Amino acid sequence: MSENQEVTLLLSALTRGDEGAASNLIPVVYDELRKLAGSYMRRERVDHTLQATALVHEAYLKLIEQRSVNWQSRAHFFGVAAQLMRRILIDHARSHAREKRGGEQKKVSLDEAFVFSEQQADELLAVDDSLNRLEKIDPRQTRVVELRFFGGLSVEEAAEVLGVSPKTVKRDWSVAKAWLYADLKERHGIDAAAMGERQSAI
Amino acid sequence: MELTPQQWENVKALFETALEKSPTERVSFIAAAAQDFAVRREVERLLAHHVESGGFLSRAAVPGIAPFSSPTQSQSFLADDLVAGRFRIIRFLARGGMGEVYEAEDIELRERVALKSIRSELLSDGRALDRFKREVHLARKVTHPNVCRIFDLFRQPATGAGVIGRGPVVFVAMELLEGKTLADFLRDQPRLEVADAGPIAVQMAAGLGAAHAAGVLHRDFKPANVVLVEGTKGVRAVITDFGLALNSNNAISDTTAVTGTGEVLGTPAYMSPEQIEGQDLSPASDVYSLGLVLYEMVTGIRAFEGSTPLSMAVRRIKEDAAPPRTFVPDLDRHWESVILKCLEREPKDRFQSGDEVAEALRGETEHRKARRFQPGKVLGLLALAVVIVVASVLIPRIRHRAPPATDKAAATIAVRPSIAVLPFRNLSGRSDTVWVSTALPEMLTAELAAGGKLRTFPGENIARASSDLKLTGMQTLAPDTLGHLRKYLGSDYVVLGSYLDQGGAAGAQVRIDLWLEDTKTGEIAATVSEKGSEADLDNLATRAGADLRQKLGAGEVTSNEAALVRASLPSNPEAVRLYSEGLAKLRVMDILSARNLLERAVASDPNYSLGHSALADAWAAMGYDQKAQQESKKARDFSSGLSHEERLWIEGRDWELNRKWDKAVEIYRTLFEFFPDNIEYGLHLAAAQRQARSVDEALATLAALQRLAAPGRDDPRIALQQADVFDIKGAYKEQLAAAEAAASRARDLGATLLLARALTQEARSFEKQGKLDDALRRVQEAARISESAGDRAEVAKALTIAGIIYFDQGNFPEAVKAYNRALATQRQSGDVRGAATTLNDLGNALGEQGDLSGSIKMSNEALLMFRQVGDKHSAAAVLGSIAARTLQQGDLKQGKKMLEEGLAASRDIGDQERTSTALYNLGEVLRWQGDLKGARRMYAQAEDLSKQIGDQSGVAYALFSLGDVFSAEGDSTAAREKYNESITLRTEIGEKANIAETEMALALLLIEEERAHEAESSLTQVREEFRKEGLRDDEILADILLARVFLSQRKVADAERTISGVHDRLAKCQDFSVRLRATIVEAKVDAAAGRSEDSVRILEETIASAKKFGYVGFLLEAQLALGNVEKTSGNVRAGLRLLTEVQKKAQQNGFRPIANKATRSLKSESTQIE
Repeated sequence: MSENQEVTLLLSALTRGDEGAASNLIPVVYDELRKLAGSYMRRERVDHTLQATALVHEAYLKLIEQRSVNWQSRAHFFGVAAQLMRRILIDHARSHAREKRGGEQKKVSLDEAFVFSEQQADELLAVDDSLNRLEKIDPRQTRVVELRFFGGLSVEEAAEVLGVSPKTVKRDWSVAKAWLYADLKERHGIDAAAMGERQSAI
Repeated sequence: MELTPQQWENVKALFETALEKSPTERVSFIAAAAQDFAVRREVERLLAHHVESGGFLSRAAVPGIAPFSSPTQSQSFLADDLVAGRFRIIRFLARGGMGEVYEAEDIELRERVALKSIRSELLSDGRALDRFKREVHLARKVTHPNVCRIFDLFRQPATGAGVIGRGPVVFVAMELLEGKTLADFLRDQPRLEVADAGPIAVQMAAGLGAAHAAGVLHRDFKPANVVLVEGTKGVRAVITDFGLALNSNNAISDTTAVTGTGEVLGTPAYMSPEQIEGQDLSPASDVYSLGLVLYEMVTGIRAFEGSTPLSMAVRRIKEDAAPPRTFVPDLDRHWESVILKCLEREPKDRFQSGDEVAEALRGETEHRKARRFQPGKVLGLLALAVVIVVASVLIPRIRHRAPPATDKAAATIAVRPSIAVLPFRNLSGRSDTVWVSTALPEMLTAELAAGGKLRTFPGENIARASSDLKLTGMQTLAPDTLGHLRKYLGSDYVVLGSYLDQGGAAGAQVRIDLWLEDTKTGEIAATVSEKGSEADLDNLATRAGADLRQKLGAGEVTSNEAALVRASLPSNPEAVRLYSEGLAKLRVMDILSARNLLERAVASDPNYSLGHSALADAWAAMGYDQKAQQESKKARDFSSGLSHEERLWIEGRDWELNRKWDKAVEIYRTLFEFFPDNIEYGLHLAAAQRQARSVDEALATLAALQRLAAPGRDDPRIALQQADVFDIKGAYKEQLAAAEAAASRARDLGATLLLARALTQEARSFEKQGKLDDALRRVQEAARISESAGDRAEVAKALTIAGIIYFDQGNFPEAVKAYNRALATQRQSGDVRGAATTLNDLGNALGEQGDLSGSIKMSNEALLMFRQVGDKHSAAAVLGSIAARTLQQGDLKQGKKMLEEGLAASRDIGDQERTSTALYNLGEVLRWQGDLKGARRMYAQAEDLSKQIGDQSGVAYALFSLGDVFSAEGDSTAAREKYNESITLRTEIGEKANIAETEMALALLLIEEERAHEAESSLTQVREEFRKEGLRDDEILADILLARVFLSQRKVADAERTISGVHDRLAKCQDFSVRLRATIVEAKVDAAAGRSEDSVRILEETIASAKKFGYVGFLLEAQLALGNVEKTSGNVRAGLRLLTEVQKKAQQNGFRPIANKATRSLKSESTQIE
């Protein structure tokens, strides 16, 4: 079975509500992305930011393009997409950190496509760690952060995905940010105000 | 440090409220509002970081991630930016699928224009940009008043660099339109009259036609792409966004870069079948989309309703649209045919261009001169729309799309949309996660019920439906099953779902997938997927519930309502699991397991009201009244956090468990008045009214339930309740009719459990009507059905009734068999009280078979069990029946002890009827023991009490027995007076057998007065009466007296014949006092016939037993007879000695007639026996 077919199958399984499809889907799509990353590099593009953006969009297109799939709900799709994004970035940051410490590096990685500073990679990992802890307290807030920060959705869009009102998302968002901010500071000694200035991980 | 979910909720709520206050007010606010230290500290921590965190995470991790709309949250341009050296940005207008839209000034032409930026990533490679340029070039050629003009394509070079740099921006300059989109308009005003829709329709068709003529397809025609512009000549409809349109000659070329945006997800709602299938497009494809839009405009609903654009699209490939007149019967036929022609599935069967549609519509609108479209009309509609939106807030969204004509509720009670959450399928198959299949639906139901906009169903009903319709573990429902379920539960929607819980380690992840299905149409109205940790199921349910509520238009759960929902769930995951497992067991009537689990659940969360309430139900099902009442009290004590509705419900159940029916009626009436569409409340109200003996009110409540809309009014439980009410009313024919109606409805629905209950009801009615065979047949069928459905309580009930019927038929061996089977079932299911009742019945059956000691053993066991469950009422009743049987055995002492206990128990529970019975029976014992004074006291008390409670029968008994006392004392005048009063009363209440009994007592007086002839004729009649009624013991007593009459008349042969007839029957006689009396008379007859030795032997035996058990009266009588026999048969001295003793003792005890007889015999030489 080609990976494309596999993605298609997983997607239709997902829309049928089959369990585990989402978690199986992400690694497959991720694999595809890694290959794409390699091909982008071969084209020797220099605008890394644009490359990264384009790459992520390719990921979305991979999902959307599945014409045979009935996306029964936007939540299905964006839930997967935001998770995917989070995973891409965190894996990337992780391998970045590993490289720094002299660990083994993957042969084909997304590193080449994303341009991270060491500090950014560490911060991103810290955010991910805090987010995992927030998940235990308030999973919906984590979803909001995932959709807003990793998925790039607006408040209204996140509200639509989660099926709650924008007001709820705003509230979750403001609580989650304050909580994460405090957690980053207390646990990782990171003053996230600087991150706000940089505004984005890439 | 770890906060509980409840604490976290408090944190969030306080944080939100605190933010609304000024920073200085916050400190005092939190200090006042947060009593919990942990909560307070957390709120303060969050507030401390809130300001700093403002900009944190506010830009996406990867700029340019914009799945369904914007490339970034920031705008490409800012006001006053000069773009491409020609356009000055005035303001940002909107964000669309392709990019952003700005209002700008073309400084060269001094014109206002719209600039639409194209997301750079969409044009990331050169080919896509080239293609896009070609398209715009084509679109520019279309100049038509109903098509938005496109001026040109521009490119703004890249700005900035590095991390936050921005790439080049490509944008299109186009005509600036000011107005509302057709989509916005239809959202406010879902249905338009043809007169109002006509001009818009014609303009849209013409606009498409113009594009088609230029070789351009829209490819994405939909209401959101039509702008309605108010003008002096009326409304101008302008089609926008030809940006996605491709040259029709190039239709299937690689379109991914342009269409492959998030927008694709929104588009299929108006796609033609060929577009959905990815085939070649033609102008007819746009015609199809136009047809869908027209359909929606005139009917107010979408031709292919579905939860998502794609599900609607898929239906389009497979189905034809329903004719619009199905929904709007008065729609012009011509319009209908135009719309349906647009919607032909084959492109060649449709109009071939927009112009053809415009022509067809124009022909029609010309006809309709009567109502031309007025310029102000749309504005008027817009104004009206605001009102409509406000008014429809409470109406579920899915309904509000439906045309008003089909939504007639008639005169029936308004019924909220109802939704049933079925048990979820456990995908992991792990047994340690089965509980989730109860927990999640339970939580979800609470979420859906919050705020009272939706009607939900009790888990018991759903469990019953699942069992009857065999739904367990279904992932999808066949259409007929769905229809069946709709009828069965009366639900408009069902939620089906599955969950995957890996279980094991704490914090295991759970994933749920839900489908909301419309039971009427079978349509999937929504799908929801959520993921969360097992420890956090309630949040998972909250999210899923919010999704479903939104789909159903039930609005959001307010924070107050959310707090109420929280309170309705256990506070910790352990308790959630135990409670869910307990509920599941309770619903399959595995009461023992349910009780154990629920006990552990409340141990884990002692303040959980609903847990205590469920535990109360479990105890009650086992018959443990006191335990049930204790738990129910706790449920009430801890119910303060619950919703008003739940609090009332718990209170109602509490009154029920305490048998305070009037209070229960009050509570259930309040609930039913608040929620007249809630059948459960109605049924509980009727049941409580029945228990309170408010028969007519109960029937009125049930009649109200029958006025509900179908299918609710056809619920078999309504007719079942009616049968119950008729039962206590004694209207057995009506009871039968109601039970038959219930049975037929239950059969229709396949509701086997209810069918069994209905059959049991039929049986009860037949039994009461004396049609025992019919009753038996019904009850056997009921037992069989219940058994196969696993309803052990009902099996036991049916078997018990079968036992009673056999008993009534005199078929004691079968009765014992049925009772034993019932007993086994009850023991299995932990129904202690049921088992005790059956044991007592079994004891009665054994007693009838002559096994008195076995019978008493059974009843004693029953007594222990009733005491164990705290059922004092039944315990008192059993004590009474044990006492009666002990007395029958002749054991006056033991019997008296039981009676005294029974009397105390009856007084304790305030059961006056039973108290008066016990008093009466005690009087009997005292009389037999020779304590005539004590007996008179007891009878007098029994009489008073019976009078107080209006128990005529009891008064008559007391009067009769008082007569007996006077009779024994020799006061025949007073005795006759009491007997006659008793007869008058017994005649009034129609107690024939008891009248005969009293006549017999009067005959005894006649014998004592030596009025033998009168006595004989009276006794002959009475005896016949007893024989007819099958009262064996009384018949024996009448015969004994007749023998005495014959003896007094010296008709020794007659006396002998009569008494020998008695002798055979006496073997079967259970009543010890009857045997004593019979043997005394038998001995007298022997003596009269000259068989002195036999007589003496019999009398000595009789005296021995009377002495042994303390029957003083009979002892004296037997001793008197023995004295006389001894005296006349030559043993004079012994005879005289005995007579002297009798005279003394009879005198002491007030048995004057016996004393007198002894005196007379002592004085005279010759003595006549009798």
